Amino acid sequence: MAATPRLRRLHEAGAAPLFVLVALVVAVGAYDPSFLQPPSLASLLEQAAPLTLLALGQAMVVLTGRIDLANAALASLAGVTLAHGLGTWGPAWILVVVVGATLCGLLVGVIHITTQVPSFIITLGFLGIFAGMSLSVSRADSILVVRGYGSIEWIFYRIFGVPLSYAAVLLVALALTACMGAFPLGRRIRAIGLNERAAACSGIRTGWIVIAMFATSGALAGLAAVLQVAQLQSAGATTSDALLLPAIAAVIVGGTAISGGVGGVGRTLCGALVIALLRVGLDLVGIDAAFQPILYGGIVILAIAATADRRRGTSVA
Amino acid sequence: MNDAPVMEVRQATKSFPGVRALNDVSIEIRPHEVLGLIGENGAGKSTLLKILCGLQRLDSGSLLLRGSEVAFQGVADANRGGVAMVFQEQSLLENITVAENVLLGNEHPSLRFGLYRWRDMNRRAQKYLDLVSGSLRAATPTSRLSFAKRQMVEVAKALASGSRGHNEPVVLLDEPTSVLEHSEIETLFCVIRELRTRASVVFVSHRMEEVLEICDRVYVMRDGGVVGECRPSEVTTDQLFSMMVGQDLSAGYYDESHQRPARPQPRLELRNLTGENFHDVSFTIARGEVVSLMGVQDSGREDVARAVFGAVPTKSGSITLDGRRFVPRSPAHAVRAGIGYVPSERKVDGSVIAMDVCENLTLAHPRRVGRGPFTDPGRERRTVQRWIDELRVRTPSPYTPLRSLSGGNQQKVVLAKWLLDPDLRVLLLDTPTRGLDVGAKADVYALIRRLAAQGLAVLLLADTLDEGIAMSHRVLTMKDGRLTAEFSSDVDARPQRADVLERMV
Repeated sequence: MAATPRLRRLHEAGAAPLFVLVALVVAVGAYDPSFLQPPSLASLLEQAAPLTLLALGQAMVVLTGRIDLANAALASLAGVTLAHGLGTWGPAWILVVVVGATLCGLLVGVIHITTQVPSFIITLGFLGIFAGMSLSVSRADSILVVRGYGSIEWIFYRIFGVPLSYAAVLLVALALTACMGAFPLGRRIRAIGLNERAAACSGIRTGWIVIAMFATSGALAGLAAVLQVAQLQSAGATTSDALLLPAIAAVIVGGTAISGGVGGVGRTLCGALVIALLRVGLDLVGIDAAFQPILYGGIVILAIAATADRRRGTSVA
Repeated sequence: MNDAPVMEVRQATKSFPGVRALNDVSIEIRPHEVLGLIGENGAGKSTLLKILCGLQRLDSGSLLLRGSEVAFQGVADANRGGVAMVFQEQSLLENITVAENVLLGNEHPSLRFGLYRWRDMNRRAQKYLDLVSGSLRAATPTSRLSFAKRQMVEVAKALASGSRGHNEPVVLLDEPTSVLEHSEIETLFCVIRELRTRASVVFVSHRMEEVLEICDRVYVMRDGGVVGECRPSEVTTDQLFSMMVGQDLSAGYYDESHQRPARPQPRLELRNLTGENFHDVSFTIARGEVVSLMGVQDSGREDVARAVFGAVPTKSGSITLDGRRFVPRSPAHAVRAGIGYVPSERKVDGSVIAMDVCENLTLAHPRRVGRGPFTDPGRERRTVQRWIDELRVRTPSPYTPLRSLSGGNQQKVVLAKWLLDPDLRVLLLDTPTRGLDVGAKADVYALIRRLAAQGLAVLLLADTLDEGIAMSHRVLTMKDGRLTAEFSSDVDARPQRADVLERMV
C-alpha cells in the first residue's frame, strides 16, 4: 500500500521519463561503450535539438487540450524560406523568419478559436497549406545555403565540447518553465486543459491563452528551422516533416497527457531525449531506418493507451 | 387495521472494511404506510436499503418478513418475497419497450417456446403501468420517455417484480427525487400516495421538506444508527435538522436571525435587460441584500445570471454596477468588475476537480495571493490555509485534489475562490446547495448571511422554494423569460409558498 502512492507521486512529478532516459543511456552504453564518449553524447544532443524545440511547442499546445499537427510542416516552410532569403537579406532574415513563423502559429490559433473547430482539423488543414507553400517556395528542390551561411553556422559550434545549439534549447526550456512557474499563466494553462468551462467561469481568458500557445508553437517551429538549416546547410520542402510524429511521441513519452492539463516542460525535455536516443540505439543495433516511424507510431499509441484519462475526473463528460 | 409490521429489521449490524455502516439498527415497516428514512450522506440509509432488498447481508441481527425470519439470496429472492427496489441510478434499458422493462426478469408467463407473446406481455405490463400513471403505454420504446416518465416506469417495474406472491409488496425508493424537477416531484408524490393503498413504501431522501410532505412516519439516521423516530405532523424542520446533524442550531437551519436589513445604496441594477431566453428584466439589488430569483426550468432565470456574468449575450437593456454603466463583454471582464458566479454544475463549470484545493481557490484572483504579477507560494499557502480554517473546509491539506473532497467542502472552495477578492461586489449563486448534505447546506446559508451583512449584493437562484423564501430579502418570480411578481421577505413576514409558486407556474 505504501509503495503505490510513492510511485504514483514520482510519476506525477514527471520522474518516469527521467528513469526511462537513464535506463536507455545505460543500455545503449552497454551495447557500445564508445557511445558514452563526450563527442558522441554531444552529437546526440545536437541531433535532438530541433526535435526538442518542436516537442516543447507541441507540449504547450497539448497542455491546453489541443494538438498542433502543423508545426513540423511550418518548420519546413520556415526552413526553405530562411535558406531562400538568407543570402539576400543577411542575418536579419533569421529574425524575420522566426517572427513570421510565430505569426503563422498565431493565425492557426485565432482561426481555431474564432471558428470553434477542433484543433485537430484546423491544424490538419494548415499541415497541407504549409506543405504546399514549402513546395512552391523551394520549387520542390532542396535549397543549398551558400552565401550568408556564416551568419548561422556558428550555432553548431561547440564550446568546450558543449554544443551551442542544445544550450540554446535549454535556454528556451528554462524560459518556458519560468513563465509557467513564476506567473499564474502555468496554472491557467493547466486549468484550461483539465476543464475549459470551469476555467472560463473563473474569469480566465481561455481563448487568448490558447492562441498564445499556438503562437509559441509557431515560434519554436521557426527556431527549429533555424537549427536545421544551420546543421544541414540546406533546406528542403519536407526536411522537418518527418519530425511531426517523433515530436508528438516525445511529448507523450515525457508524460504529458494527450487530453491536456497534466504535464510540463522538463519532462518533455526528457521525452525528446528518449526519442532521440532510441533513434541512435536503433541505428547502433542495426535496425533499418524505414522501421523507425513504425516504432514512433507504436510508441504513441501504446503510451496513450497506457496513460489516457487516468487523472481526469470521471464525472467530466 | 392490522398493524403487525410487514417487514422488520432487528439489531442489525453491518461493517465494511474500515467503517461500521450500520450499528444496532432496528426498524419496522408497517402495512400501507410511507416510511421515511432520512439522514446525511454516509448515515447508513443506502446500506439499510440494500439489506432490505437483498443486495447485501447482515453481519448480525435479523431481518423479518411478515413475521418470519428471512435471509435474501439476492434481489430476485427479495422480489419473490414481495420486496422491490427503485434504484437511484435509473436502471431501465433504453433500446427496448416499456413493457419489456417492466417485466424484465419476470417474462416467463408471457413466453411461448422462448418467444415473446407480445399481446399478453403488453397487457400484463399495462396493468402495472396503470397503477402508476394514466399516460404510460406499454408498447412505447423506452428511449422516447422523459426522465420523469422513466422514473414512473421504474416504480411500475418495482410493483411488477414485487407482486409475484399473493402478498402486498414493499416498494423501496432510493432518493427518487434527486433528478426530478419540481412539477415532476409533485407527480411522483401522487403516485406514492396512490401506491400506499396497495403496498408499503420506504422513501429515502436527504431533503427534509420532501420527507415531511410525503411520509407517515420517519426514521432519522446518523452515523450508522437510528437516532430518532417521528411523525412529520409533530416535528419542525429545525428539529429534524438537529436530529440529523446531531447539533443544536441556535440560529436555525436558514440562519434567519442573522438576516440584516439591506442598505439603501443600490449595487446592481438591471434595466429592461433582454437576451435569448429572457425579456425586459428589470430589478435592483441593494448593498447587503439577498434577492431570490425563482422560476421553473426554462424560466430563463439561469440566463439572467449568466448574462450579468458576461457568459451569454444580451440584445438590449442595461446593467448598472454601483451607479456606473457596466457592459459585460466576457466572464473575465465581469470578474475584474467584482462579480462572482457559482454555477449550478459544480463539477462541470464551477471547479477543476482534478486540480487541488489551493489551485482552485486561487484560479480567479491569483494576484491576491501573489507578489505583483508573480506567484508567491508562501503567501499563497498562508492565504489558502486561512480560508480553509475560516470556512471550515475539511481537507487533509491545501494540496489535496478537489475531487477527494465531499460536495459541501468542494462548494466551500468554489465560494472562497470569489471571496479572495476584497473588491467583490456581486455574487451570483446558481443553486449553490444542490446535492449538498444538510450540514453543508446550513454552512453555506450562514456564509451567505455573513457576506450580505458585509455589503455584498447576492442574487440567489435557489434550489427549493423554501430555501429561496427563507434566505432572501426579496423574492422575484420569473416565468417564460419574464418577471411575474415581487415579494418582500422579512424575517417575521415571509411570503406564502403558494403565492410564490402560483407566479412561477
